[in-house]
Parts: sequence; C-alpha cells; structure tokens
Amino acid sequence: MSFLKYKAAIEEGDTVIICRGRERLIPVIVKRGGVTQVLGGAILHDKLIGVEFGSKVYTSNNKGWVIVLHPTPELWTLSLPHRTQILYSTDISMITMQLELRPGSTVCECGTGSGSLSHAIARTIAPDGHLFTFEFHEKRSQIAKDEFEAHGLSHIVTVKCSDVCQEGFGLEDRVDAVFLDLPNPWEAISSAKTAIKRTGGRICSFSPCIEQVQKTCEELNKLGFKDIGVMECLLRPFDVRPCVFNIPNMGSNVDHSTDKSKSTKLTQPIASSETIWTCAQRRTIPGHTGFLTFATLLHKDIVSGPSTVDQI
Amino acid sequence: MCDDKMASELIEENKVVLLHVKDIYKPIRLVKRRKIKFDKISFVPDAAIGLPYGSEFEVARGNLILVKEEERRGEEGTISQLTEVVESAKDNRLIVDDGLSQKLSHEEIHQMKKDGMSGQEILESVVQGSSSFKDRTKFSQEKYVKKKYKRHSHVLSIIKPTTRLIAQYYYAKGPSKICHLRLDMLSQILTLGNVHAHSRIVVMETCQGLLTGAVLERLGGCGQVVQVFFGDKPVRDALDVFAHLSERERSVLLEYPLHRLGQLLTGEGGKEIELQLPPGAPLEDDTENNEGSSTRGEDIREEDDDEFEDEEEECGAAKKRRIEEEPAGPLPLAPTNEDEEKERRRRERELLYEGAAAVLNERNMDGLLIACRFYPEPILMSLINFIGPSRPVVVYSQFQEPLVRCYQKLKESESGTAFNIQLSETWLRHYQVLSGRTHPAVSMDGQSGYLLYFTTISNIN
Repeated sequence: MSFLKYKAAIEEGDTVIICRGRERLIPVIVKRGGVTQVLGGAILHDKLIGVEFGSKVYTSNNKGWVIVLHPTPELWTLSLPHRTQILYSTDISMITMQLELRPGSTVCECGTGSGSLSHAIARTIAPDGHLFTFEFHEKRSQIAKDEFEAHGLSHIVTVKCSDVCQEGFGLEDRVDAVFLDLPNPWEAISSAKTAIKRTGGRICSFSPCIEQVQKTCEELNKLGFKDIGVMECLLRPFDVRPCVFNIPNMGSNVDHSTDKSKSTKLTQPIASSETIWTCAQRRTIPGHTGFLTFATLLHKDIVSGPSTVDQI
Repeated sequence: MCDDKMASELIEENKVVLLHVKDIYKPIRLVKRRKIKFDKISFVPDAAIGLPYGSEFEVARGNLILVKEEERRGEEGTISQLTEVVESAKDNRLIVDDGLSQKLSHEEIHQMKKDGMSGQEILESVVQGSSSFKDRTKFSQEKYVKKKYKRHSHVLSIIKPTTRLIAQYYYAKGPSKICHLRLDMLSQILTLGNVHAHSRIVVMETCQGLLTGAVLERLGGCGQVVQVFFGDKPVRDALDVFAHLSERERSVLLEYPLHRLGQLLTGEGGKEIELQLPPGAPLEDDTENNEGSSTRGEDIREEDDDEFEDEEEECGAAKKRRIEEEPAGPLPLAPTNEDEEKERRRRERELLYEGAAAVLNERNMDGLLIACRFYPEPILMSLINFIGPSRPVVVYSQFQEPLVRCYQKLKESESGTAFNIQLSETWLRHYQVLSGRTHPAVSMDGQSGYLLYFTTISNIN
C-alpha cells in the first residue's frame, strides 16, 4: 500500500479509510478474516477485498453501510490515532506553501508527534525528496516509523529518536526547509541553520503561545534569517443546508411568496414558505491552533550573524 | 528520479527573476546591458549576474552595487544606528504637528539623490534635519526612521521565483485578474487536492495560469495536468514567471478546450463545435473587473523578451505585441503561404487535444481543481465525470453563493457522486512581533474567498 499512488481496488494489507456520513473516519488495515465494528453493524474485511475504492459496502446484517476511501494525507489527518496534538490541513497547507516544498525537497521536521504533518510533507516531496523527522519520545517515534512503513513512505522518511534542542539535527548543509513544533523552538534554530543547505532555505516554527513566537523571532533575527513573518490561519467551516422559512400572513393584500401555487388560505397565520439553501456558521470552532513563524535563510555566503557551529 | 534538480542557485542571464524593492516583488528578465526601470530607479543588471540569489544591491549611477555583508545594516540595523545615539522623550507632549520640523526642503533632498548620495547618507541627513526627532519617543523615532528608510533606501534584492512569491506578486498587482486567489487559498487547493508527483490532475482556472503553474511545480515532472480552458487558447501568462520550472516539469501539461467537452461526455467523436470568436479581439466575458485578462495565451516555450521589461503597463502592451506576432509562427519551417501555416497549426493543436482527450477519456483522473470566474456548477458537474472514485475535488470561488449552488446540485444529484462535501473560508492574520509591542497587524485582508471540497465516490443509488 502506498499513500503516494492511487490504486483501484482494495487488497489484503491495505490501509483504507472507512466512513459514514459525517461520522468519524476510521482507518482500517484490511486482514483476511478481520472484522471492524461500525455504528450500523460489522464490516467483514473479506467483503472489502477486491472492492473498488470509493464504493459503498454493507455491514454483515445488511442494515448499515460504509464508504471505503483510498487513504490520502488529508484523510489520514482526520482519522489518525492521536498520540499528541496534531496539525490540521489548513495549517499544513500554509506550511507546505511557505516552506516552498515540492518534489525533491529535503526537509527536517521536529517533532514527529502523531505524524499528521509528516504524511503531508512526504506526499509533497516524493518521489525523490527526503524527510528527516525527529521525535524525543521513543514509543511515538517507533509507532511513526511503523506507520511510514505501512503507508509506503519509509523510503523517503527517516525517523530519529532524539532531542534536537540538546543534540541538534546532526545534519549539515543538507535540507531545503526546517519545521519546528517544539516547546522551546529558539533552542533549535542554530542547529537548523547548520542543517539548511549552503544555498539557503526556509524555516517554520509552529507555537501556540505568543511568548514562544517572541523569543523565536529574536533568535531568528540574531542568526541572520530574513523575511521573518508571523501569521495565523484559521478555517471557518459553514454548514450548508436547505432551510424552510415561513412567511406569516400579513393580511389579504400582501402576498410575498414567489411561488404563488404554495399560497394557502388567507385566514391561516402562516401564508406560505420559502426554501433557501443557507450557510450557517458554527457556534464553536477551533479559534486558535498556533502561530506560524516563517523566515528565509539566504545563501550562506551572504548571511550575516554569528557563525553557527553545531555540537553533535 | 523525478527531475534534474533545481539547477542553479546563482543569478543567471536571460532568466526571469523577482526584483524585491521594499515590500514589492516584480518579475523581470535579466539581460546584460539592458536597462531596467522600476519604482523610480533604473539600472543595468550586469553586476548581479553570477551572484547568489538573495543578494542585496544599491543603485548608484545606473549600476547595481553589491551591498557587502559587513555594510549590510538592513532596516533593523539602520533604525538602531540612528536612534541609539540620540536622546528621546517619554511621551508625545512636545510634538506639534505644524509641518515645520524638517529643515531640508524637497528640492534639497532631490538634489542629494541626483548627486548620487546613497540612501543611507540621505536618511542620516533627513533624520538630522528633523528638529523634533529628539522630542519623539523611542518607538516613535523607530517608526519615523522606518518610514524614511522605505522612502529613501534604494536597496533591492534579486530573488528566485517560487510559487509562494509569484502568488503574492499577482495578488498584490491585480487580485481581480486571478479571481482574488489568496496565497492561503491556493495552498489549500493544492493540499486538499492531494496534488503530488504522479497524480493526474484536471485544472480549470482563469487565474492567468497561476494555479496551473503551482500544480506543475507540485508534480515535479511526473504525472499529468490537463488544463481545461475557455476560448481558443489557455491563458498562461503566469507560467513565464515560473522560471524555476524545467522543460521537463512543463512537459506534463496538456490542454483541452471547454467547448469540446460535450463531445467527450456524449462519446460523439468527429463533429466539432466551432465557437464564433470575434476575429482579432481577445475573448472577454462581461464579468466585472477583468480588464486585461486576455484569453490569448501563448506557447510557454515561446519566450516573450519584453514581457517583464517595463513598468506596470505590461498587460496591454504584451497583448498587442502577441497579436502582432501571431502570423510569424514559432517554428523554423517557413510555410509558403498563410493558409498552409494556419492548417499546420490547426493540425498540431488537434493532435494536442487528442492527447488530452485520450487522458480524460480514461475517466480515472486523480483530482479536479476549479478556480474560475465562470458559474462553477455546470463546469463542476461536467468535469467530475472524468475523475475516478475516491479522489479529491476542490472548487474555489471568490463568492459563496455559486459554491452553495454546487453543494445543492451535488446533494440533489441522483447518483450521489460526492462524499463529505465541505464549504469553508479562511481567516488569515499577520502579526507584528517586536519586543514589548507584539500585536496583530492593524489591517488585515478580510476576503479569502471560499472553497468547496469533497471526495468522489462510485455511483451509488
């Protein structure tokens, strides 16, 4: 199974995303004899094998159904098992664009966390780029490693279990871009500078708190990074649905209905109704994910600031 | 391997680069000994060639002079240099806004510029000439120097174009020409569309080729893009600015005219509809605000030397030039008469369309991206037929209402080809980060436009 190339039909061992309506997406590894319980009943894996991605599959009692989707980094982000806080597609989009990632880019990411961003980066830099992702939590780094293996990404992703703030990236003039999601990102910037290619590159730090941003910007400035920009990017989803609006009876002379056939007797309190497709905003939405700090490191021949020597 | 890596990181002659002056980016083709005029400065670019991208220059007497690392103070450095030595006030009680505090007249400053004084020197004189400078608070002094620095500094840098910068350039220059497609929306289209190497993407855009270029960049020369276009040729002016894309990366681009989709959908080959195009005039529709959005694209390999030569007028002039060039033809095989030439081009185009039609006809494309000024619903409902099941579709519009109509249509359609349809906008806010003075930027861009996205599923009744 590879996240990097679509295929038509489900085979044993594939990761598929099963879902129903707006309910939570569930990632499933298809095994012969396997069963996955969903709200409507049980999905027998044997029934999935050979089925085309994007099809409807019924539960064993034929009462419920699910749709089986081909995994993509975006669906993975919505369905993956959370081991940490994760980044969602809105921030991921901005990060990918601002870090100027494309096929062939080499990237450092720290930390790996639950691998939400890692999958998106790997997708974008494939087939010949490389992602070095660092995670200081041993178990998390092992699980991430297994996931990349299962998702056909292990040839472009190297997972390392280490504390970048203490040990550095251990890379010199190797990467086009660095992404930091750390409690103390400023401690990793000097090492990031060393890791970035001679010809320069981009850096991003994701921090929920403004104090972290402040310190990060000071450090970036000190080390000669240019074009420092801080932003936040929030998704505002709408609920779209048809809404029926009643038109009250306003007396015999007034009929505001556009559909005259629907007009009822003029003695009724509600004269008629209109159906309009509406966009409602949601009452509670994520109001803050984190601040995104971006900066450019120019060609190292023209960068001022103290020289960076990394202790490895 | 997907592509022969990003060639050089040094500034080359005959390449389109981005000039960065103050907050403005501007694409320019660098040609030795040819003068570039931009933002009241003019210079020949010779001195920049062979230096790393990102190098900073000062303009003096029509030449570029490299700003050396140790002299490079930048805005921050200049501010601290000019504010640290002077005393400052605690508050603004002494400031009287009578316009008399500056001792230097406009003429004197102008003369200093004429004499070839550097921006730094002029800036120092201006600050010294301000009698109220010492009465300002530290913050106010910084703000003052910052403002004057913007006005008097001639520092420019030469930067390699990337999608990030190109999108910002087009958005700043004329958002109406790219359907107000903001950087965050462009980035989401690419992400939500799962655009990556080896994917085969259908693109329908009227953003001057910005979206097409961004997709090509993300494909890295592997996969396929079919640009479905309106009119007689796709508009791809922006592709010239994507100077960092190699021939190979551009080669995955195919094109197919919108007005022939009917043939593909009904399976009736042969009979082709000829659109009644007004001769000579570029196709325009009546949508507001699209002055200059010519539908007359040009072959991407056909270099237009002067495209990025002059100031802001390029659209009109380039259009005219292209029309003039039309009969010349790009190939060396000189035809004996005009008709023959026309026929040859027509055949060439047919061949191109046939290739695109064959790709579309598999009806198993990996993604559909729409960002255009037309009513999107019929376009979406037609193009969706070419997309395989379990693939992403993303429709962008500057307006919400047309996307709601798409939503409604998808929900009501019998076959139910869309799963988990979502409609959203984004809220992008920039921050000023300064010690003790960090806050959101005072003005923000409040119009992100809207996105509709979903995953296709097999037809289910």
